[in-house]
Amino acid sequence: MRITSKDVLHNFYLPHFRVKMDAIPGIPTYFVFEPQKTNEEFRQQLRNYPEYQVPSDPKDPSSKPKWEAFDYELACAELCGNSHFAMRKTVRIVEMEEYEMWAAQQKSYYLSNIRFKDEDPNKEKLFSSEIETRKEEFIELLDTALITAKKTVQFSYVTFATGSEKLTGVSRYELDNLVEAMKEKKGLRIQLAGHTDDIGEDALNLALSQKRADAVMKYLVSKGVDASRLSAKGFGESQPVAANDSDDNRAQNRRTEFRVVGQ
Amino acid sequence: MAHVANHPMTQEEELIEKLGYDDHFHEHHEGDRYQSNFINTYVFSMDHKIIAKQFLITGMFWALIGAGMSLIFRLQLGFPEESMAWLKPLLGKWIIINAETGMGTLSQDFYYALVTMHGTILVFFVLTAGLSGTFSNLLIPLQLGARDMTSPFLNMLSYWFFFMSGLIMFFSLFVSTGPFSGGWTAYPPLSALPQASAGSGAGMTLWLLSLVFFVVSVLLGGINYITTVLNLRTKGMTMWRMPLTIWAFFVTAIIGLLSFPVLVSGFLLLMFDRGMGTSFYLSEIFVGGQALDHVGGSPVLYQHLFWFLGHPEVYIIILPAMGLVSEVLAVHARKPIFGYKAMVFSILAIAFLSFIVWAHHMFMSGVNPFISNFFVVFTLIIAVPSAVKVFNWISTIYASNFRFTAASMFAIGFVSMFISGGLTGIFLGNSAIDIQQHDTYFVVAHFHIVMGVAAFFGMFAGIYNWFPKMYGRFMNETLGKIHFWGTMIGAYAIFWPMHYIGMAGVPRRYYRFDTFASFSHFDDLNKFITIAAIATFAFQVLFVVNFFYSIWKGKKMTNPNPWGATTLEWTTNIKPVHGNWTGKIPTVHRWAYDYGKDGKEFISQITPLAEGEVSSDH
Ligand code: HEM
Ligand SMILES: [Cu+2]
Ligand SMILES: [Cu+2]
Ligand SMILES: [Cu+2]
Repeated sequence: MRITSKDVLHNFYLPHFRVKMDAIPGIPTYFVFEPQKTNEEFRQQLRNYPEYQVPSDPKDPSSKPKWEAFDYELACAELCGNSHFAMRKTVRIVEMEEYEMWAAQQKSYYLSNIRFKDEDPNKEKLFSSEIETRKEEFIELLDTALITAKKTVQFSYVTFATGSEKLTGVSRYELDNLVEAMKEKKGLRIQLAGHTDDIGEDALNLALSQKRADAVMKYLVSKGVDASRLSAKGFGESQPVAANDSDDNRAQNRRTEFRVVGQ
Repeated sequence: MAHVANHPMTQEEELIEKLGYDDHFHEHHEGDRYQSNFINTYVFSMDHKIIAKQFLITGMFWALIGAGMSLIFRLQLGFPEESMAWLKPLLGKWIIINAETGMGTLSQDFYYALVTMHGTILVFFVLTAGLSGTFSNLLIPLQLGARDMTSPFLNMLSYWFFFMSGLIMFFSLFVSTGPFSGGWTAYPPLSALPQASAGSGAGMTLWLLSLVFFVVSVLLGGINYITTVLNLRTKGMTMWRMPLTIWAFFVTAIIGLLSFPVLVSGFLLLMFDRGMGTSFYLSEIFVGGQALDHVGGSPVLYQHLFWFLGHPEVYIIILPAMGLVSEVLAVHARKPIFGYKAMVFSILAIAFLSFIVWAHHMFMSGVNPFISNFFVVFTLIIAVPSAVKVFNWISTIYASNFRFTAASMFAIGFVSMFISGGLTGIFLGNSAIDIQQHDTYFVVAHFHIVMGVAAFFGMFAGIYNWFPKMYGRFMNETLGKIHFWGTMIGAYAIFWPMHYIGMAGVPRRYYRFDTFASFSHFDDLNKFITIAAIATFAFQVLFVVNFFYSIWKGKKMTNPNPWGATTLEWTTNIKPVHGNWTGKIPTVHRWAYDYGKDGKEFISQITPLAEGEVSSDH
């Protein structure tokens, strides 16, 4: 169970399971526990007790019997303001498969609503888990490219400030992956290629794409890759990968790639 | 200077006259300019005995307010369906009247403010200032044979800082957004972000200010207690001849001096976070979907700073009570305290250990479980010196000809409470068990019994025992005994059931329990607790009445040493003057516990060893 908070301290408390852990803004916490019975199994067990056969709402005789209305509960056990006592959620214990399907769709508030937006204070940085996954992603891209005919890899995360050849902060992570690969595979020689969409004048686009390819090359050299193994060429808008007819497609055409020319 | 009195000299006076030490005090201070009018005698007094009374009466004032608050929130918990409209004249807008039914409900904001104020007031104002402030002031100079504190002026300041602190807190009860409501521990971010709750605004600002004044008061007092114990002991009063009361006050002051400044630094950083945009305790917080600027801080840091004081603080509260109880038990058992040195060393051991257990309050705060192990071990080790003390108290009264007075009964009650509450501490000290118990009513039961009730019992024992010293009259014994039984039974009736509620998992600081199916089936117990609380409160009113009645109308003291005690405070006049002894100051020839020695019921510390007598000193 991974726990975070986005405002004040709370405490993630499951009274039926006798576990609790503070939820702290800025510091994710966790605990591990293994529930034994799903909600349904537990209800069936409660069903045998007379005190659970009474209506769940004493004022309404037609309400569900108590055993059927049973739910595992989630409470808060850290004073968190004047609604502290009312922070109730119910918990569903389910079979493992159902859980995994559900978990795969979940994203934290931060990752789904804030990450890489303007108000994200870390938008120029990657967290270590992100660095890990992106590195694996990159190695896979490169390995596949090496056995195909085109031998071309398109950078997924290399971006520039609008209209300029200035690399954004997060670009360096992917370029660092390339640097590492070049240091490992000593024979690798590549051509860097810049591409733009069709907005603006052809000549300007061509010049910009050249500058951007150069900027990438400069970065690689600054990280210790021998310049003789690199070349850079701007293609402007001459080689689109999609028709320039929508914002999405144009975004696809604005890209930086490299082609393996020797290995 | 010759003895000037118009009654025949008592044996004590003769001894002092013969063996005392002449410091020519009254030649310099007779008709003292420090006590020339009402204001500087009773208000801005520098006499430790008056200051002690000021602390006591201010503490009683706060105890009544704090306990009254607990009755209001207990009503809410025991009888959530009853109308509180009748409290409207007192609480005003905090009682919300339903226009249709006329039903009055306590506002949630104010419920949390009451809980917070109750904790703050009782822990700091009543059981720290009211207890240690009263008895350290009264007894340190008197029992050491000193004319007064080292610095009577700082001592006066200490009281007035406390008074100011109380004034500010009192004021905060009336601000329109209400007093602070985030719990007596004031954890950020709740306490750091004024927008987090109503009480976190002006209420919290005043709360912080008040507590900073309070710490100044504690430090000024503490410096005085320490220097007085170290420097102003009379001739012959070696450290190992000091009564256990003095040892307790002395060590308490040292703990306070080492831990309160850490609290203030914690508060200072909190003030910076609140007012100056720093992020010591804040990180990655979203208010209304907007990310705040604060990044990189840690709310857990505050908890460390707070509990680095917080745990020593609970011993600051209990040690003076332990000292008073040790003394009262020995005097009324008419036996020497059992294991005097073991008592002193266990006080020192508790004091030392109290600094390395604080994270047992934080087992569930996300600290590394491996670090918890360290704190589990030291927490459980504290039980050892605590058990030594309990063993010694019981051995002291065992097979004694015990004199049952209100004072000595409260002292026994203290031992009972300390055992009950100490045992639950051992449950909580295991981090694995604490996963279930943390922040439930089990914790509430634990600390109220071991600290709240026990410290009150120590304080009552002290008040009944030394009231004659303070006012020259006795408190009514019958009322005192009724007060004892009512409080003893009442306190257990209130807090014993809370253990069960807590073990069942019910969290503390809930405004109502019916929001959860898991917590809502203890209505009857909660009613019972509330009724017990109201009844117990009534017995405290009885005490207050007895106290004030006895100041003016109580039975007059005729024997200057009514309990037959060995310590120096009973060798003064019935009403000790400014400077405590009219002539010379007494000198000391033996330890404080010569009871039942050589066929004598007691031998005062000022009595020289008889010929051939073996000293019982350690
Ligand atoms: C054998 C000795 C003791 C042990 C092992 C012990 C252990 C503990 C533990 C582990 C907690 C934290 C529980 C939690 O929050 O989950 C706790 C809370 C507390 N204890 Fe003790 N304790 C002992 C004696 C005392 C004494 C002597 C006092 C006071 C005189 C005291 C006062 C408190 C207070 C005030 C709290 C609760 C603070 C709060 O959360 O508001 N304890 N104790
Ligand atoms: Cu919460
Ligand atoms: Cu909460
Ligand atoms: Cu503690």
